[in-house]
Amino acid sequence: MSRRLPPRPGEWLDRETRVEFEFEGSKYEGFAGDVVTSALLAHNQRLLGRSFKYHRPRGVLSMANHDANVLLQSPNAINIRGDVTPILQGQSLRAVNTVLGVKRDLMQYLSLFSRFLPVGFYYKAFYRPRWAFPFWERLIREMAGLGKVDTESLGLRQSRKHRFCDLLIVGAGASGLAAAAHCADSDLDVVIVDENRYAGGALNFMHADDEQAQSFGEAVLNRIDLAENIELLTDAFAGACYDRYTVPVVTRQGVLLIQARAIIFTTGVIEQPAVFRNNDLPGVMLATAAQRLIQHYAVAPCETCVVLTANDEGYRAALDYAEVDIRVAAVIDMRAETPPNALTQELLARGVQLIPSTHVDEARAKRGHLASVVVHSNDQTVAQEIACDGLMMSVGWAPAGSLVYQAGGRFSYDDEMHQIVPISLPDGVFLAGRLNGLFSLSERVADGRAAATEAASHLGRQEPLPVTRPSSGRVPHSHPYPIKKHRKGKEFIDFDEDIQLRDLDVGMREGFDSIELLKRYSTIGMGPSQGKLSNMNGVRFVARHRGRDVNAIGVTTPRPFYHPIPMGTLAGRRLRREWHTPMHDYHVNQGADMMDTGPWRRPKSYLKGSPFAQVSSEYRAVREGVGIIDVSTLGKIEIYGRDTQVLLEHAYTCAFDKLKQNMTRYIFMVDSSGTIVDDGVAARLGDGHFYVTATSTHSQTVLRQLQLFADQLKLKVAVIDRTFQLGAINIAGPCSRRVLERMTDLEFPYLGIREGTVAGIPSRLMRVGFVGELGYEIHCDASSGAVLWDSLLTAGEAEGCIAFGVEAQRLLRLEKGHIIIGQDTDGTTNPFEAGLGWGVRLKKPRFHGKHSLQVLKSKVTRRLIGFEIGHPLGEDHSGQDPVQECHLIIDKGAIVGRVTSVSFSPVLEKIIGLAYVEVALSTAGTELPIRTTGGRIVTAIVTDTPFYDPDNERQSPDTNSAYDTAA
Amino acid sequence: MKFIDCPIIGVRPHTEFSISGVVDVEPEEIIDLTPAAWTFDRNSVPIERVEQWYHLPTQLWFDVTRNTGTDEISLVAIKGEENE
Repeated sequence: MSRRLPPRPGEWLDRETRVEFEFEGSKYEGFAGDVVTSALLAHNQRLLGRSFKYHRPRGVLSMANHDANVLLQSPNAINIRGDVTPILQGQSLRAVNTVLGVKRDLMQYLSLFSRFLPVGFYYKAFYRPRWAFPFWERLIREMAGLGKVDTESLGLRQSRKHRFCDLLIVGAGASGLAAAAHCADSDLDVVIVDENRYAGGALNFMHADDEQAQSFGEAVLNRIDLAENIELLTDAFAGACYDRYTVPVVTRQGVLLIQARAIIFTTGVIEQPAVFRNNDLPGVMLATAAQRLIQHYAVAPCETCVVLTANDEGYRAALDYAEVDIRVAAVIDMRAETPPNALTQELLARGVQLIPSTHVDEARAKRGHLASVVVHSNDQTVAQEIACDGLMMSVGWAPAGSLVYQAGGRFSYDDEMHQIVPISLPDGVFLAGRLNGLFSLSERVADGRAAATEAASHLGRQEPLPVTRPSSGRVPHSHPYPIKKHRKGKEFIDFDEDIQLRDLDVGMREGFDSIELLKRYSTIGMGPSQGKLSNMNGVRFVARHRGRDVNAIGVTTPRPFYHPIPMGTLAGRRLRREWHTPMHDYHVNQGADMMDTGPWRRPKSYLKGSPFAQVSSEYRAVREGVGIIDVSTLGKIEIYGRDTQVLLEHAYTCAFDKLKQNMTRYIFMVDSSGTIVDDGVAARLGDGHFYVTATSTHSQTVLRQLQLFADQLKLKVAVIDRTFQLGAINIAGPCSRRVLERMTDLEFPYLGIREGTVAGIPSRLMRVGFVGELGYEIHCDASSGAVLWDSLLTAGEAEGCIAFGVEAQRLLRLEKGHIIIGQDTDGTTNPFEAGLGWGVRLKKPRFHGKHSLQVLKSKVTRRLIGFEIGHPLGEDHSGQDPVQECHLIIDKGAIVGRVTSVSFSPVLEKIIGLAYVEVALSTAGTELPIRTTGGRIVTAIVTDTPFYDPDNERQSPDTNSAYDTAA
Repeated sequence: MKFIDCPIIGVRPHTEFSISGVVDVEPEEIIDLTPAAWTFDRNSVPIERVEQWYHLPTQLWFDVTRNTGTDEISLVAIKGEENE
């Protein structure tokens, strides 16, 4: 049987194009433009989903993106909302959260046990006996959640776009369109967004037969279409409001981040359900849902309906239904009187039974679908059962005010209107329409125009003020308490989470009577629709139960996003900066194993094979011959000016007075709490001219810090970032000088710095010793970096010069006991603990962190020490369960230390490492019990550092030569 | 998104900036406070205060007068500018 109606004037269908799709294994056909729900209803498929907890049958409810019980899964998407998602040719859909399909769902028998599933069930049931919990946990995890995530998904990300405008209007209903049209042809850049496929809002379904409304809609849309300063976005919902004027608008293509200077919210109101026994049956729906089905999709939701109302909208809806030949069995009005107006006159003329002062007590089902309703007069004297397959509820409204709350607006419950209305708004935020409690079309239009005038005035446009806002007739459109308790229960107050009145009763009886606590305990409003259809009634119920008014109970804060959105949409496309050194092509061409160091890409190692072998051959080149490493990632800062030395004295802990011209020294920086934050090398190049390096990942932070000190101290300096202008290569190994001699005539001592040419390239050379061999750091213009790199490799061919990576460098420096900031220090390490006390000059009158270091000097509780594990070659390293970084040192059951670096040392033929230990354990020879990942205890011995070449003979083999001492 | 209106570089989104609090340069002597109190104690009472903000693209520091209660910025000045 088809429920499809003859073509409707404003329908959203393209009847020329048929679309075939599958639902639960059966084939269906709809028109292009149909959403899943409408296409299924057209075929009289009214069971569309199963509820979350009891797996009760559910059908259409709102048709407005709040139908959290009609969630579907396709092969490539989950939790698709049937009420708003268009059907696609060939798509195969299933209802989520069922076993064996929505029709037979085995889990439905759970509802037989619902008496044993009270609120807070999980908290009460599964905490003892403790050993049984893992079993229950598995079971609960299996049952919980909606839809199955496909972890094989490609995770396609959507791009994020930005849009700046003067005025954003959220909601393209009557008031929003009126506001936008009012701005037409002004110099304001206006964006208006609406979540529906077409603009118009309620004009399209609540005023479908109203000629005046239709011609108004047509006129404003025309005006907006012609105005060059207005952009209308439909099928795009405003998801949140941040920082008052920033609104991420979610489109099917991704997030459009709109930055406005003023916002008008014309988001309207959300129709609220009535609460009575079995109000969740398929066939029970909001009056507007039925109107949307009829007007947008030309689908009759039922044959015979009963309308439950508490406002004039219900009578209007009843007429709309009658118009498409749905039999209206009765209009039940919860108010005392049937209002004497044109709508009721016409309904009476059509022979519709109008019953005032009556409510629905219970809905009854046949084969899982609504078959009749039992209505009681409000004084309980009359009861009757009316057969129907549709019950349309029009009992009240709650504001769609989530974004207004987020913008900083406040609402309050109006005891006369029985509706939540705005009471205060932040600057630049304006509301219009039903949000303001205005329900007639003329009021909403006038209100929209007034809001536009106020917004234009706020934006500095000359507009006449003050603006008069229309005042509402103070006629309530919401029932104060559309809730009817039943002795047999099953009155659902929250459809998403299957919350019955009894659940709230129990929660309050157990003491969770604050709305915030009750929400979390009962989970009311925590389902996919975020309480849009449940919070209002929930608050009413709690207020009555506690004998307080609604404002005293308050409402919970709605959080972004307005509707759930996929994580990929939220994440946007991954835009990650990646920095390449001048020698990057070489690394890539050599097939180096690249790693991330902050934004930099660095070669970890150039060789294939086991990690150990890789490092070992690069390592040997440096220890026995010569190797080069790309150190272009170092921060490189040049400082000029009269106060350069004052700046460095303030920023770094050491003293610079003894640093001679053309010499370098090791420096480190602490923060105000005395924690080491960076280290590097400082070189004095002249009066008021220093060259400073910083660690690869921190160069920008150091630069920023130096600039801050310079500004704070009002120093005459220029701090220049040369990190990206210069490339840098470290050539190290006993043969490094021999190689370099062929390319330059510069000669100088350990820790010296010279400027000259290497292979004809203007360069700055420093003698450094990070890896513990004779070594030079060559800094040159980035454009020459690759040439210099190749020249060095060629010049060193005879000595077997090869490139080495970061892994080899780490091992080489470990043997020298040199620390890496961030690896051998953490966010609390001070220089005295790290063995760098020699680099702190507390006698300086002033430097950053001095006061803290003064205190810390006498309070050292741990020390960074070297340790070795004296097992034969490789036994504990390359085998299973080796000692690794971050392993703890455990003594008598207490943590007394932590390993920061560990490696097998080829030259010492044992495992060496660095670790923090308590001071009492820091003397050489102490045994340290290290616990491995596998739980083994490995004993290490505290050893003096450096492990290798303690007298630094290899770094300056020429210390005693006449040449070097002369410099 | 917030915008910071600099007298020299114009209106820039706050995402280009990073804040470094109100801490002034460490003095030679800390008066009336222990070093720990000077280093760690902060007042979180909403107030209008001058904060240091760094602008990454221009590598400039700003003194930004901001009300921490309303999150409104009332004055933006380039730090140490009078020194130029």
